[in-house]
Order: sequence, then structure tokens, then C-alpha cells
Amino acid sequence: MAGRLPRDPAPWAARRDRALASPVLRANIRSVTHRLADARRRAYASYPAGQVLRVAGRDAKRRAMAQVEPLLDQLRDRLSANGARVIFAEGPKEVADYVVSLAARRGAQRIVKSKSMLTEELDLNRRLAAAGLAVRETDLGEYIIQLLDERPSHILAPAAHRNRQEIHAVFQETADREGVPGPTSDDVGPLTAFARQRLREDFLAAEIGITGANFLVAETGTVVLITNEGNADMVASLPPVHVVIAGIDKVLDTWDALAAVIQQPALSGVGQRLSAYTTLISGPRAAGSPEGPEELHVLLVDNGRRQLLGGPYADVLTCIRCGACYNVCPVYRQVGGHAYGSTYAGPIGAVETPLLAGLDFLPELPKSLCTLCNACVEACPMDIALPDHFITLRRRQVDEGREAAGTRLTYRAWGRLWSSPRQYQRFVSWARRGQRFMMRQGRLVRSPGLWAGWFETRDMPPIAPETFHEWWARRSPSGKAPV
Amino acid sequence: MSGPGGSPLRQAFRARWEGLGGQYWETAPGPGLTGTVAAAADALIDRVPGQKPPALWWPGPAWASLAWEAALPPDRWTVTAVTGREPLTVGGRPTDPTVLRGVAASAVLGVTGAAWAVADTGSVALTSAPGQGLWPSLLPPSHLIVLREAQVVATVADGLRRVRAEGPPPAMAKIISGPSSTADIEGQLWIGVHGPGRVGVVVVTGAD
Repeated sequence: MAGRLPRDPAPWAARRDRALASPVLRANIRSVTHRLADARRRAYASYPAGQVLRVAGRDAKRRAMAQVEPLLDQLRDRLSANGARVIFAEGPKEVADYVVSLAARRGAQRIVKSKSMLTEELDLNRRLAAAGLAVRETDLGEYIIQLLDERPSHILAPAAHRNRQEIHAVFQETADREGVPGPTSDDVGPLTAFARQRLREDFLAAEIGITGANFLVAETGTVVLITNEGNADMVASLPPVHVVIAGIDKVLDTWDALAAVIQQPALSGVGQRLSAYTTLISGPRAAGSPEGPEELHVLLVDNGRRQLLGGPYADVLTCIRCGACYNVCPVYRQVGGHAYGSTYAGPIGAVETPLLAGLDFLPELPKSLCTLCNACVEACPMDIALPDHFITLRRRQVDEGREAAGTRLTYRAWGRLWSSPRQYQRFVSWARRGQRFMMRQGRLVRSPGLWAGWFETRDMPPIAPETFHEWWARRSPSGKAPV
Repeated sequence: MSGPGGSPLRQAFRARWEGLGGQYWETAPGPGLTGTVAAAADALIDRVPGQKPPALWWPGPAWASLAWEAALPPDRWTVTAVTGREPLTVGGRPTDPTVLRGVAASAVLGVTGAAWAVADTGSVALTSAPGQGLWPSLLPPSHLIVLREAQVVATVADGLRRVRAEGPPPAMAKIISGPSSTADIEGQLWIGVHGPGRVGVVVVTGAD
């Protein structure tokens, strides 16, 4: 069944222009993507073992995606035996309903969260807030965009599109509202110290903690969380209830599979051999143990993933959300994440969004936001065939009649005209006659129909009074143009 | 993995750990250990003259022989020392773990043991177990780890195999690779967000 994803209601052209018109966004996205892409390249170059692990990790992910259902059953059995409660959830409503009723049973009001793209995909915060629950994002970047009421623009750096001055302003506003001292300056140190202080109080007061999962190990019933800040450890170990919300695509078969893939998110994401915190949770607080939540709930979410299993796009489910494809994509580097209008941006987002939610959902993503340059597939540690998917998704849009009639007819006529030399030469001579209405200062500057957009930012030389073909035909004894 | 054969692993661990921003001390087993721990603890905090900063001492049952009074002398520190397994005791009295959460949140230094460490990544792994809490590794701004050289393994996979060899995995295990950090504001690296900004390890050299 197709999943349900939130989207920016603005059309693509408006989203694109908004991004291109923001110098702060473009400068920040440029520096963040270049820095992360360079860090990844250096990390692999100086660490041959990382490449060996990458291949083993990719194979482990593919192996798991080939047998998801039995692995999920095993995972549920193991986690249940370890004392956790496991729930299979279809989509956004089922997940939100579960958390709301859990909060009601516990009498809980305050929730802390660590970063989870899945909960963004499920629009969970909005649903929980609507039920009267106070949800606090605790990853620094997520905290910033939550205060700004925005969505993440990069998987690893959700506030990558904002600068220090903007962040200082929203922190000061928050401090004034909450009656506490604001950050002492707009330097990174004081800004971080302010967030640490505010969020520390939330960690200690929260009654429920929500995290995602980077990996799930079926063999042992283990949830793996990876962060650099340490906030997921707080969320998982301070409140009395821990709720894990994870896609079914996170499952791995064995503990050894985890060992193969565990370093990849850090290596490909930020160029470290491991992130500062890699946390393995296999159950609620054990008898006699001083720490850990009283209750551990693990929600395994479909939201459009199952329909991809066993099909030509199944490798999309091996994505580990490292963001490496964002950082090298020439489109993402120009417009950043918000222009995509979806939870997931970059090459993987442009492919995965319509696959999860249906081909009519943000159809411009595979169509308009890829140059087929292949940088993404070179960067992807899981070797996901992103360029191939762009091409087949475009083909499906055409084959299934999802293109506008005008577009379809224009391309059909164009294709016919250019498919024989005679027709092509006839087209050129028509165009030469028509082009005088489209010229300024000796250059072609506009065009009717489908080509109009191309000329918005470019011009081109006009068709010559005599083309090479015509010149050749005039000189050739046979009087024929070369073919 | 011991004696001279253990040294390359120890040296590799040290290089990676320090490369990540961790501080490192090593000492031969014996009477020098408490002095090294005391020096490490002092180096990990900013001491305000005349004050006795609060510290949470919780290296766990494996370090029962290490006397906290010698490492964190009471004339220089306000120490909550957790000993025992079930129940946990502080100063000989049984203690509710939730009290210790508050202690950890206000301490400037937490002292723990470790389960194993990884040379290849410069990481230290801690596991939850009866008698051993993980809060002192997370809530205070500084974290000091006491480690035996024999606990250093070559790769993350070796460490994870060690966990599996001991049976079902513990409720929580964490692999720490350097201080808490973020680059969420303009991509600038900043050390010390939610977890400790200063981490140090004291390695006791030798076979066991």
C-alpha cells in the first residue's frame, strides 16, 4: 500500500525560486555539502578497511531486504523475549494513535525526541501536538528548526540553511518567552550552551522519549542509535518510557551483519570511523540494573515500504540515510532540501518520495531535479542504482500517461521531425524562417511552447543563413546532403 | 594481546582516541594507579579555587579494589561513590538509582569503567549491568574512564564479538568515540553539546 507523506503545498517553480533567491541558504548549503563530501572522500582514502566494510555492509543490507518478513518476525520475538513491546504500524495515523494512547495511559505530557527522518515523514510532531502533548526535538539542528517551525533541509544538518544570526534571533525570542537569559552572543559556543541548558531541563522532566533507529538486529532484538551529540542516549535512558519508531527497512539479520555496516553512517555521512555515540539497546531496564526505561516500545512502520520489496526499486530500502548523495548532487547543492518539498531531498529523496507515496505525489522530483550526472551513485555506500531509477521513473511517467497532453504531443511531434534527415532539414528551414520573431541583438532569446523555459536564463545563436548540410549539398556533385 | 604484543594495539588506540579529542593517560598496575586517576580527574575539569567540585564515582564492580578516597581526595572533591551491586550503596547505605540520576546531572565529573575499547576507531564501549550505571558517562560535562590494556581489541567487530560471546547482549551498550560534538550551526565543529565535552581514559598497562 502507498504511504502517506507530508509535502510543501507550494508548486515546484515557487519552491525552486524561493531557494535560489536566498543567498544565506545557498551559501550555507554550499559550504556544508562541500565540507561533508570532502570529509567522506578523505575518510575512505585514509582507511582501506572502510571500503571492505562498505561492501560487506551493502551485502548485509541487501540480504536483509530479501527476507524482511521472517526477519521482522524474528525481531519481534527477540525483542518481546527481552521485555519490549513490538507493534507493527501501517502509517502516520497508527503511529500517532499509539503514542497518544500510551501517553494517556502513563499520564504523560512531555516528550523528548532525538532526530528521526521517519517521524518527519509521519508528521508525528504535528499530530502529537494536536493531541495536546508537548514534544521537544533535542538534536541541536532539529531544535533550531522546531523553534523556527520549519522542516529539516539536510538529513545530517537539519538547520544547514540558517546562519548564526538567524539562530541567535530565534534563541533570544525563545529565551524572552520562557523568561530565561538568552545566549550571550551569536557565536557557536554560546548558542550551543544555550541549547544545552534549555534541553537539559527537558531531558530530565520528560516522561516519554522517542527515537528512531539506524539499525535493528533480528538475531538479538537490538535497536541501534547513532549520534554525535549524545542526545539519543539521553532520550533513551532518562525518561521512564522509550518509544522506538523505525521503518521496516532498518532490519538486519545477524549481529555480524551489524558489525559489517555499523561504521558506514559515520564514514559516508561525516567522514568519521564512528560517530561519537553508537548505542545498542536490547530491552528495557534489566532486573537489578540501575538504569534504563521501565517500558520499551518498538513500532515497526510500513508507510509504503512493503510495496517495494522484491521489486525493481527494492535497493532504495537499503538506504542508511547518510546524506552522501545530497552532498555531491549538483541540484541539491544549488537549491537545498526545502525545494524538494518532501521529507527526503537529494537524489534518494527525489527517487524514494514518489516510490513511497505514489507516482502522482511530487512528480516533478524524478522529472526535474536530476541531471543524470551519476555523482550520487558514486557516493552511495550502498550502491543504490539512483540514476537508473530516475530514468525508469521518467519512463513510467510517460508510459502511464502521467505527462500533460501538451507536453506529450510536443515531444511526439519533435521526435518524429528529428528522426529522419529529411524531416530534420525541413524543421531547420522552418525554424530559420520563424526565428526572426525570437531574436534580439543577433541572438535567439525566446521560443514558443515547451522550450520557453530554457530561454529564461539563456540565449543561443540563431540558425545560420546556410547550414553545413546546405553548404555541402550545394558543393557536392550529387547535390545531396551528407547523412 | 599482552606484554610487548599488546603495545601496538594500545598505541593505536591512543593515537585514534587522542585524534578524536580524547585525553589519555597510562600507568603500570600497582600503587601508581590512584595517582594517575587523581591527575587525570584534575586535568578534566576547570577547578575554581576553594571549591570542592561534585563528582560521581562509579567504575563498577570490576574496579572494587580502586580506592576512590585516594583518587578523588575528599578535601578536593565532593564525591558520591557508588559501590556494591544489588543493592547499590553510597557510603555503605543502599541507594535508589533515581537519586543517582540527579547526582549525575549535577556532577562536573563522572568516573566509569569500560567493557572494551577499539584500537581501529579509538572507541570505548560501556555496558549497562547490575552495579554499573551509564549516566556518569553522559550527564556530567567531563567523563573519565578506567580501562585495562587487555580490554583493547583491534576492531569494532572484535568488540561486538566479545559482547556476543558473553550471551544475549545487555539492555544497553554504548560505544563512545570522542567527546560529544555537533556541526549543526553553520557546519562549525563544536565540542560538548549534550554529552561530555571532555573525555579522558586511564589505561592500566599489562596482560590483565
